[in-house]
Amino acid sequence: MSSVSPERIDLRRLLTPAPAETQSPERHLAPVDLPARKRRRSPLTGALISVGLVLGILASQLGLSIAVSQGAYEMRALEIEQRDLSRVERVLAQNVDKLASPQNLAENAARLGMVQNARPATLRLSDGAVLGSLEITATEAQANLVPNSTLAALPVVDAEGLLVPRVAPVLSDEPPVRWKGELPAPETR
Amino acid sequence: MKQRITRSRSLLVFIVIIVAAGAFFVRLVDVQLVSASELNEEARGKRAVPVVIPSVRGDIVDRNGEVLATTDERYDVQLSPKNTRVNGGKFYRPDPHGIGTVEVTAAEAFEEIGEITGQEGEEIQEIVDEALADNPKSDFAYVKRSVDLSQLNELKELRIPWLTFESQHTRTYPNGAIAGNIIGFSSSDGQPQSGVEVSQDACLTGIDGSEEYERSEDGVALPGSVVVTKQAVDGGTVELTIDLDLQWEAQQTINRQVQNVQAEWGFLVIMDVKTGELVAVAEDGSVDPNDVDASDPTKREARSFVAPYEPGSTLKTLTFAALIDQGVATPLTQNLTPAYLEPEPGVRFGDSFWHEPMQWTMTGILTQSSNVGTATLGTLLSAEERYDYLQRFGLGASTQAGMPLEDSGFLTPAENWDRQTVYNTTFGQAVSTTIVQMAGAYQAIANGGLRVPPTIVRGCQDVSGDETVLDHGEPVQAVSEHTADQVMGMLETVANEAWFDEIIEIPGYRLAGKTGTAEQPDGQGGYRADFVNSFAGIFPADDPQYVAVASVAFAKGGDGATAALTAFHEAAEATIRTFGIPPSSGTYAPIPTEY
Repeated sequence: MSSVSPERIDLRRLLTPAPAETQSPERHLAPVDLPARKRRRSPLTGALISVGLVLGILASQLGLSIAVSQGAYEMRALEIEQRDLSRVERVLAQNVDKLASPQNLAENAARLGMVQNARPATLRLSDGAVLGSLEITATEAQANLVPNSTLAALPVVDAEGLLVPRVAPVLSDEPPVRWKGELPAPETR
Repeated sequence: MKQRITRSRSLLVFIVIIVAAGAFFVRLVDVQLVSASELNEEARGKRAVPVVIPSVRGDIVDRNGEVLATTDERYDVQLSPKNTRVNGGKFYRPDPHGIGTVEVTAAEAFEEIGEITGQEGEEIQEIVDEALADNPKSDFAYVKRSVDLSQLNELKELRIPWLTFESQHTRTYPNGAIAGNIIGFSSSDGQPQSGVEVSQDACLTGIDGSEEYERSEDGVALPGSVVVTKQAVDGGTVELTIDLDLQWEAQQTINRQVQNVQAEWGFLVIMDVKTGELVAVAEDGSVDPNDVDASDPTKREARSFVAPYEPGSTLKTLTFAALIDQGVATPLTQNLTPAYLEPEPGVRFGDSFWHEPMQWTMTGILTQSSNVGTATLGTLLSAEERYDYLQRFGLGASTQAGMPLEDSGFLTPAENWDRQTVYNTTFGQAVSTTIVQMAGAYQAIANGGLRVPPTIVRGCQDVSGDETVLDHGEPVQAVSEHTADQVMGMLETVANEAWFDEIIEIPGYRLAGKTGTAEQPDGQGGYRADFVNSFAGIFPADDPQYVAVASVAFAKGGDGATAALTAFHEAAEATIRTFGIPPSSGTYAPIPTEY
């Protein structure tokens, strides 16, 4: 048996909107608490740090660059010193060559009054024999006849050890003229 | 609505930014990638300065390494005329006596410069005024050229900002006129003019290098910016066979002898017998390469190599050597010799002194230097045979010693000889040789008949140490060793028996040699009345080591023959001292001069 008991349909309830839900059920929502946060830094610190870092990098770059340039200046100064010293060395070596030239030695020797042994004797070492004569055939110190214009300004040492001006060698085209003919004689009575 | 407007504005800004960024990006790519190399070059070109690194010319040294020619550095002093007027003609320099700076006027500065360079302050003022008159913006004028290092340092200490310096290389010869004829000299702008400076120029000249440095706008060189783009290679060293001290002694000797007898010229040559090396080549009045203008213009070349002359009787030795070598005669061959002979019509010659017909051996003919005897015996050989021997002794062909110019002398082929010439060539006329060629011929006699060509330049040693030896020609066996021995015997007899034996004598040493008295052509088909006197000698005669030939020409105030003999004597003594030649051994065995 089916018995459908007609229920009373509450039309009013059907037509009117459903009442809002009551706030009575427990809400599961609650305002959120702020999470436990660390102490907040001011943005200034970060800025300072990054600026400081950048400045530090720039400063070290500048320092390196100064050091490199300093090295370059030092190297340049040393190169200049080397150039100057090698110039001095070249002048000194040439002075030595000039002073060692045979003309200088001969002029100084002549001024000192030295003579030359024209025929030195030889000593043979194997048996101690003396070859040649031990009599000294000294020749007069001859004037130097071979010019050397690099010596013009250098003095010579004379027999007293004093520096005296040098006399340039003169190759005269007119040596003493020989007398020709009879010698003049005074008239006598 | 507001939202849309804001959005389109921000979109617009965004688009502008994108476009601008795009433009910058394109430009960036262009600069960094596309045109990078061009721009780099341009930038460097505006900053970089190319500089030539000059190479240093090589030295010329003697057989022992003594420097005969070298390169010196000299400095040119320059100023900038317009800068002398800047700031009212005043500049500041650090106070040498304290701190701070001192004001200096341009006039004061000129005085200071002049004190060091030897000029007057007004002269320098004139230089500046002239330069500015030509060009008011003139930046360059020479104050003094070629100052030396000490003057340069003093000028630098003046700290004058408009004074600058530039270095130049000049050639300097520390030994003056010694071997000046051989070394040669350079002109004022460094061009070699004569001698070994010319002939070995390729060895002596280096290769210039180049470098670049970068400079700032005001001209200061940026340190550390020098880049050497090409290394300079310095010139090599030329080694001569000359001995410096012996060359000086030889020049002293010949100068003295020429002066004593008032001769026109004199030569003295000393050669090593075994190697043909010339250890001394002396000429009177040789040029001093440091001061070329002070020398006689006719005496600036190496006349020993370029001025041949008829040798005269010294050539008789070669005639007799040819006779002995061919087996046609010996040192004892007898010949009744008159003082004058006319063997054919139109041919005549005579001895230098009158005598009756003498019974002379060939050695006697050589000792008495008889032209008649020489011609009579010499013509036993045909002209072609004698011409061949003269060529084997080196006559008629240029020596290759290493000089820029070496004369071959004058020796016409035998087929061109006229009848007089056929006889004249036996006693050294109608043929001309340089003194070096005569020395070379005697070297052959002294060296067992083997002629080694004369050398004066041994070789070239470049900067890295590699040595190049010059080629001087092949040795030639001119006569056999037996012939050479016999001729040496004859020459020793001449040196001991002739009129001059006491002039050349050196106790303890055996000498050999022959005089020569030669007439010279006068340029008009005849001969001059005066003579060139020579002596060619070999010592020591028992073990020949050196040949010395002396020639004294046209003596006016004395006996030229004595001068030549004395020159040989002094040269022999000097050579003995220089090389420590021990005294002779054995005894001299004279060959009979008469029969």
